[in-house]
This record gives sequence, C-alpha cells and structure tokens, in this order.
Amino acid sequence: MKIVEKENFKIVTPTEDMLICNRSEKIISDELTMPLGAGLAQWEEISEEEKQRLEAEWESEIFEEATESDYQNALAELGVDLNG
Amino acid sequence: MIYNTELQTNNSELHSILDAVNALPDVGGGNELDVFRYMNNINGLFENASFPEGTKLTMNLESLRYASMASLFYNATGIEEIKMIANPEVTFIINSMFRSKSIKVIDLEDFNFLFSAASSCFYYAENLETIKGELDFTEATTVVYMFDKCEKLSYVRLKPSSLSLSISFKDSSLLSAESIQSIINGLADLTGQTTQTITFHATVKVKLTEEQITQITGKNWTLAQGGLL
Repeated sequence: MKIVEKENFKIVTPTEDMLICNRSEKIISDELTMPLGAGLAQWEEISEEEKQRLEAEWESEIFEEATESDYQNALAELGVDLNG
Repeated sequence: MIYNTELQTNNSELHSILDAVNALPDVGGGNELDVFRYMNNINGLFENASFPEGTKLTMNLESLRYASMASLFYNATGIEEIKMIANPEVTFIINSMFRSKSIKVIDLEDFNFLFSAASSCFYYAENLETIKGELDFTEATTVVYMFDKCEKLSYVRLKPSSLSLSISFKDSSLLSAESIQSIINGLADLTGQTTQTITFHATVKVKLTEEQITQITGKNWTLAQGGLL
C-alpha cells in the first residue's frame, strides 16, 4: 500500500489492480483518507475476485439477520423479556 | 374494535385484510380490540404484498410493546411512501424492514426509536430517496451496511454526534450537500478511541471539501470510498 501524508491526514492507496479491505467491518475501498495517527493493522489488500467472493458472503450473512432466531437473539441482547 | 393502522390508500385488498382482523373475536369482554397491543412479532407482514402503484401508507404502532418488524415490507411493491408512528419507549427489531424496490419516502419523524437492532433496515431499498426524521444511532450495535444498495438516497439526517460505529453510504451517489454535512455532523468524536470508518460513494467523496475531510479525520474517523466515478 502507498501512503501519502498531508498536513491533517494521510491518503492510503492499494497497489495496482488491488483494493483495500477491512474484513471485520465488511468494508472494501480503493482509497482511504485516515487520521495521521491511525494504523493499518485491520486493512489488507485484496483482488477484485476476492472482493466479489466477500460481497456475496456478506450479503448472505445480512439476509440471515432477518430470521426469527436472530429476533430472539436480538431481544436477549437488548435485555427484553416478553413475559415481563 | 379499532384499527391501529391508518391507511391513506384506496387499496380494497388491504382493507379486506384489516376487515378480517377486525372480525377477530374480542377478548377480555371489551368492545374494542387494539390488535397491535397483543403482538410482538409482525415479521414479514407485508412481504411480497402488491399494493396499488403510488400507495401512501401510515402505520400507527403506538400501542405495540415490543416488536420485531423484520422484513415487514420485504419485496412489497406499489408502496411509495411510508409514515411510521410509534411509542418512543418501545424496543423495535427492524432488520430488513424497508427492503422494497418501490419505497421512495420513509417518514420517521414520529418514530423516535433508537437504532439498536436495525443493522439492515434500509438495506436494498434501491429506490429510497428521502428519509424524514433525525436518525439517532446512540444505541446502535451495527450499522455498517444499513444503507447498502440505497442507490437513489438523496436526503437523510443524523442526530449530531450520535454515531460511533463504522457506516457506509457506498452506493448512494446522489446524497445532497445538506445530507452529507448532516452525516459528517453525526459522527461522534472518537479521539482516544478506536478509529471507525465512514464510506461514501466516489462521486460524493470527490465533492467533500478539505474542511469536511479534516472534520472527519479530526474526529478520528477514516474516510473510505465505494462505487465508481
């Protein structure tokens, strides 16, 4: 990755034909503008092919969130007692 | 018996549904049954429903206690505008709630809930143009893909400094200048905390001024871009 520092921030770009990805946050970008003190530990370079695979995987995960089991999990996470 | 759903439409089919609800036997010896009072799950209630083109729907859910409305309008057609009215003290689960290709306007001015279980509520609302009401993300747990595929979104407002989690508008190339500034103002100051990421469509990102970029990074946020110019 290439890093160019400006006065108030830095710009990060991937090598040619690659993209920058943060898997845990489900973010893919072809450029980042970051605070000067921010690290790149969560970011990695991926190919266009890997981007398409990840996006399909993430879409499947998002769809599953609307299921009844997730509703029950969400209620529990929120501390809601329907019998209360 | 009363309806707690107001319809601003001539949709006879929908009225038939509500007439059927109205025909349910009363409970507790009373003369009125406010059906939503007894419900805690209306998941997919209008899933794949075909409304007349241009339908404007107002849903008054003030009597709900707790409710999951996941996929409430999933793949519904014909609805152009939805106004939601709700009790602000109620906990709602609204993942994929507005996933419909026909919805253009969502009015949440009187739906003052916290986005605590709403990670995908606007996901795939491909023709959504306007969200009325200030979105409060103070209690949000995940919002990063909430606006994915909202390709027509132009107007949205965030409660100032309410957002401290990564969020993406990577598919929204039509955001108004007012909306862009509201989103930036909605980012909480994360100085001294873990950096989060705001993603804008490339078309929007190039419109950002140096001052706006400094505002974003100055609050310890990373700016990413999606889409193509």
